[in-house]
Amino acid sequence: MGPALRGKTSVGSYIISSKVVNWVNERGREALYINSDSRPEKKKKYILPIFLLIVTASWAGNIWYYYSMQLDKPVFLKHYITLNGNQDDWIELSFLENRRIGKKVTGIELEKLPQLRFEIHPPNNDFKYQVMRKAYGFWNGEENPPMEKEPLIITEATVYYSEGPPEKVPIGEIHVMWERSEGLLESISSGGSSEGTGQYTVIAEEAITLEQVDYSFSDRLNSKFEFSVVSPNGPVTEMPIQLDAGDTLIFDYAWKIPSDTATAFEVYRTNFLLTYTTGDGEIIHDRIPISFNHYLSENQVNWFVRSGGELP
Amino acid sequence: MSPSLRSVCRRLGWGLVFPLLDFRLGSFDIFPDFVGYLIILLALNHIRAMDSHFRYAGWLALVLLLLSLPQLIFKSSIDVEQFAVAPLGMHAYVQATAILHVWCVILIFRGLYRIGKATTIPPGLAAAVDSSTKLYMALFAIQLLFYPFMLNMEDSVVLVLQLSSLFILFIELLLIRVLFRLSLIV
Repeated sequence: MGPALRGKTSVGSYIISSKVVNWVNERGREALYINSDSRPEKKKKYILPIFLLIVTASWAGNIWYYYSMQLDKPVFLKHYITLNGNQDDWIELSFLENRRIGKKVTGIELEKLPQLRFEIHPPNNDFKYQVMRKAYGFWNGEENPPMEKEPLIITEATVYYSEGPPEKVPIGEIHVMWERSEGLLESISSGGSSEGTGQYTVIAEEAITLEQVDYSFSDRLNSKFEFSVVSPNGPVTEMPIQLDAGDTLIFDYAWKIPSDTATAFEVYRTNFLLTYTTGDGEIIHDRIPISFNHYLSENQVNWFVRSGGELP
Repeated sequence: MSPSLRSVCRRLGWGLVFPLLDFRLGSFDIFPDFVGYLIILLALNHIRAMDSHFRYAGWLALVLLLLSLPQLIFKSSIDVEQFAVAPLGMHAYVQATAILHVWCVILIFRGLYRIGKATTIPPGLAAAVDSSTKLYMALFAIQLLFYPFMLNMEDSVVLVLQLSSLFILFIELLLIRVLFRLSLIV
């Protein structure tokens, strides 16, 4: 085949191929247009109502669930706190509040300690539907007007809300005591872990006889708190024990708060209560702080809201 | 395509730009939605006799025009952070205008598509119109369905929803581009 001939066939095949392309294009276009209208009208008719029904159901379900996860009003955790009137002291009150809707806490007052001014901090522990907020109250019982130095137990706070009248709500038990620290045990080190264990080490300034070790709120805490005392001679199993000046005592403790009950909504600030006698027979009551890390998980808060949002 | 249809396509394109853009100076929208719907309404009025879709779309544009007037005074969109506190009426308003808007857009493109049968729109463009509107509809349906879940979902899910609405925005831009491409076809 000569070069001229070859040229001819290629032109011819080009013409044919462009015709084919045009034809294919046209069929394609027809197919497109036909396809778009080919769905039977009957079927089409049901799609929209069914879809709208599903959308409505989605709205209804989500709104219902959202409201079921809201608290009726802010809830104060149960606080078991000791407060010393003879020194500058402070208390921290935690409460759960809906993140967005519903009334918010705007002010807190303790009727028996009216001079305690609370500062409510912005939320610092966020959950999906609620926030945990803390109110701090600073106080010194010797400020003006000085109070009558009597032990007090406060169980209620007057809470002011962003809407509606103020209410008296249970906040646990705040024990106000008046003690001066004249202890002969000096703190050396202390530590706590997020798992709820902690340690406190003291050193005896002079020879003493340790008569008794107890802790505040022991009636409430019997199964939720465990501790052991270690002296230079090993774990203390029996009291009293003798300590020489310079001897160390280690207090090991562990919180055993069950995570799936209302106990998880209790906050403790407790102390070891020590009773010891000095060489000249004087009886001294001393306190050693116990650290307590309060932590609530999203699941615990959701469980609490779902189970009615009220603490027993 | 006739010169009048070309200018109609261009005007529809510009009209759709207004509701799409939400640039605010203070509380004032530089591209007020109602201006867009007015442009769309006037453009559709020219071609209302050509296809029944345009007639319905025109009515929707009128309703949207009226519904978008309050936006001159208050902010009509809902921030994610404000989602749960926004009153139900506000959600209903936002969703209703969104539904009507998408419905109006779809009717316009269905109408153009029908006219396309009788005229010489290139198949590529026709296919683009067809697939874009379908994708637009499908995405919007998903958005409608999952929008209420913003009340209860984790933030990550909310992010996915926001991404899908960004995608819808992108498709609407493509559809507007189609209108301008149509206006260039002689």
